[in-house]
Amino acid sequence: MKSRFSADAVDPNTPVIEGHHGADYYALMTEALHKLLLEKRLLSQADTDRVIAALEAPNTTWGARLVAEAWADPAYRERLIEDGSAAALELGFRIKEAKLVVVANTPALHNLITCTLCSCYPRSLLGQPPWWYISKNYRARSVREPRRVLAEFGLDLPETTELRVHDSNADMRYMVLPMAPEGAGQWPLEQRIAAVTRHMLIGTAA
Amino acid sequence: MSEPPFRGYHDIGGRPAGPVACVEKPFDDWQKLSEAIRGAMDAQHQIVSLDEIRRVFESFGEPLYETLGFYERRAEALSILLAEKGVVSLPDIHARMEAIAAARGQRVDHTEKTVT
Repeated sequence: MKSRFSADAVDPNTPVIEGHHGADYYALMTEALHKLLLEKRLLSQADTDRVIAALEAPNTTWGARLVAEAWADPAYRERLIEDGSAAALELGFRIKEAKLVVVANTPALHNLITCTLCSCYPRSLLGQPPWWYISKNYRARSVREPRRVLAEFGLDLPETTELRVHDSNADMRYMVLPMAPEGAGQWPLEQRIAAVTRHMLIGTAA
Repeated sequence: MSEPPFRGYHDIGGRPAGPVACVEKPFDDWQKLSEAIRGAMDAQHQIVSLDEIRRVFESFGEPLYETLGFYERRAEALSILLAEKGVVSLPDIHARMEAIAAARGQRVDHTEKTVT
């Protein structure tokens, strides 16, 4: 019997199919499932409302807050790179899903974050990932031809700059620490936070 | 003859693929609710971990994996997992979907995954 896991079932040279079928169907399924679980008293409306609020709260500015601190405080920058989860907690952000690993860009090194197997992302810090991050095209190509992918995002990395691609997994979530703009260490906190974009935190912008 | 390397259909890193659509899409209400059901069932009953959800969509077959997007795959996996655990049956979920759709003058096709 041909195993669904065997390589003869999955030819690695076959292009991936970027399907986005069934949204209406699964929206209806979700509505039906929710009603059934409420009726069975396995969940209350407040239970899902609470989780939705927790899903909606994290956003780019939370990650930017860590970056802003690192730009102004070299000792914090070291702690952030040493143990991302602990450094995030120092500023009040609890990384719930896995260990946060912060990778720092330098003039000679650029970092890019992906998740080829699933779509892992530090959601409890940055919120839901952008749509393209969870797309199969990004997952497949970010590790095969990352410079071409970056170019499609408008980032032409010099050949002399080393590029490291970090593939997330069940135990680790990554965030990029972008390089500080000139003089940013002296800027007010709000200005530093505003200078950080989600693309920078993923590595699709410098 | 040597065995080919072990590779699941979800292991798509490095496979040929098309251009990355650099667009943003909103986090839809149904997607939030689906994720919240999983989160709440895990918090209240320790019954649907993220690892279990992954195990389901990494084994429910390549045809579904190819056609569904991220949140659709997770929603499918959630229903299968809750049925596996005897929390709610797939026929019950399907029947409720049909009842809701019928009240709106719509029809559900569980094979094609459409509501029309």
